[in-house]
Amino acid sequence: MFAQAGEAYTPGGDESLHRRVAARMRTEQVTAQASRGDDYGGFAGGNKHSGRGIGGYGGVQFAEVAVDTETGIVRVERVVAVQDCGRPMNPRQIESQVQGGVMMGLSYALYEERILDAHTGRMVNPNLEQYKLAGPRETPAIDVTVLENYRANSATDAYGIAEPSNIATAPAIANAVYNATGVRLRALPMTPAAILAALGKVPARS
Amino acid sequence: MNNFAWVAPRTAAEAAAAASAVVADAMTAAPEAMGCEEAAILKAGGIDLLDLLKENLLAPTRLVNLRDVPGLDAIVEEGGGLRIGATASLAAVAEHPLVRRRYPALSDALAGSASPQIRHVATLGGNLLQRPRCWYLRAQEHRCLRKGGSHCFAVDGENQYHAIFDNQVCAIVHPSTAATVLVALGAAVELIDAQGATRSVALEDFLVPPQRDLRRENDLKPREILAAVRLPPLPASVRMAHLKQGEKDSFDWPLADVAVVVELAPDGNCRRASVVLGAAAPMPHRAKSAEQALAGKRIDESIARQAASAALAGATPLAKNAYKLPLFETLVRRALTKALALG
Repeated sequence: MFAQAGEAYTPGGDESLHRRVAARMRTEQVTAQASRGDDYGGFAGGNKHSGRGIGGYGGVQFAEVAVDTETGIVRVERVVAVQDCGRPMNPRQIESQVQGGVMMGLSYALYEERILDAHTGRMVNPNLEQYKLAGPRETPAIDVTVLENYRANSATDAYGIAEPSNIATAPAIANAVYNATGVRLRALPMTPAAILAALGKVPARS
Repeated sequence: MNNFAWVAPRTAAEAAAAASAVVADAMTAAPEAMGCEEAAILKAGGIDLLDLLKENLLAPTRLVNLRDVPGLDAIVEEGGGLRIGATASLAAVAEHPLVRRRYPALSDALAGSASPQIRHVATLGGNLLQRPRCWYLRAQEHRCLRKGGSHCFAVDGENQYHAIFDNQVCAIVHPSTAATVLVALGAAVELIDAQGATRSVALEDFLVPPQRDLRRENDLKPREILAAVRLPPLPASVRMAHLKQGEKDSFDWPLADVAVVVELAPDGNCRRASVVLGAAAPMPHRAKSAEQALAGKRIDESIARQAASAALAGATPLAKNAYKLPLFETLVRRALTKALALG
């Protein structure tokens, strides 16, 4: 469907070809490819791209949420995070790192927003009172599974997993909100105002 | 933050004598004059005051410490009601057995406010007298109406957390969750002046709407302290509840909060009701239409729905806060359901 003009799509093949092909695809087609192993750097041919930032960081997350459709409040009840980490040198610390990543992703999904005043250009919430971050009572049950992966990418095969563990959280929560309510939210954070508006419950101003 | 002198009074009258200015007046002084004029400001828990100092919104020359005035934090029974000293901490009030038994809505409102650390330092008096949380008021660069400027930035700006009633001039919401319940309960405040004379005013009259004075939220005078909050005795047939909804459960300001106090007649019908909305208007907003919808009725699920809908009569939401309408409607219905154990 997307391999046109004689450019064959081969998993693990020429990365620049992948990018050219992807650039021609409609958004939903690109999204459809996002879960393939080769999107994570090519499990088969990663080494020949050495020096071009190809890693082996795979992560999958699942979120369970409760949406109060009368108040617009979303509560994340459980997140399951499976994180590829190469050689786990300190498994407890990796789990803790992933939990932190999930909390950052949760804040990104539901709370964090840099609000600028349209007239003055000033940020109106430049402090931890007004800029919202998830706290202890927003913390869901977080199940972390550390996935070992040995590919001789480095002397130790250990990866850093600080950023990778917060990538999947917000999309997982957004998908769960969609699954719960039947409406898609296309912008973050998913505030009560946004949820109630998406559900058609906010009256027009008279 | 400027340097200041520390005043440690030993009695309420001494404290009142030392307090030369109220926060609202000191904040409307022109920025270049700040710190030059003599201003001694009262400090109880300091939760709000230290924020104002650190944001350079206030530069008092002296702080008058109320915390160590003996007896000012006492909670005592008073003719079937309760007198709560102004420096009692939110946690102490929430946990007090008589508050929990007689005024459970107040206990619920305070037990869920801010964070555990803040509840143990913040005082009930300070909570009532704190300045609004409007982010334009709290930023030095926005010289808004309430700080003596000429423009309300919220009315046509970022107003998602602002008022849906009485918001045409200045769109702040009253910052105190306790005030929502206390107005519904018909509480009064007791004020002491430098001579030790007291005056008692209904809280609803002590709070100042923007039409009366745009630059203050209450009628505290210089050389005066708020010494206590008085809760009236209530008949045994009174039911009450307070519900609040923040975006988060931990350490967040409510988007909406609701207090309902319903007195039942011997036949089980509603004799009279108070329905008060917090985070809705510059003052705790008494929803008179909802109160009328409840009076004389046997309150069931359907009456609760009607009252909830009536509570929003006359609302004038701004561009970004119309979502508060369905939110308040839900909370009023749920608060009535909780208070009367319906459903």
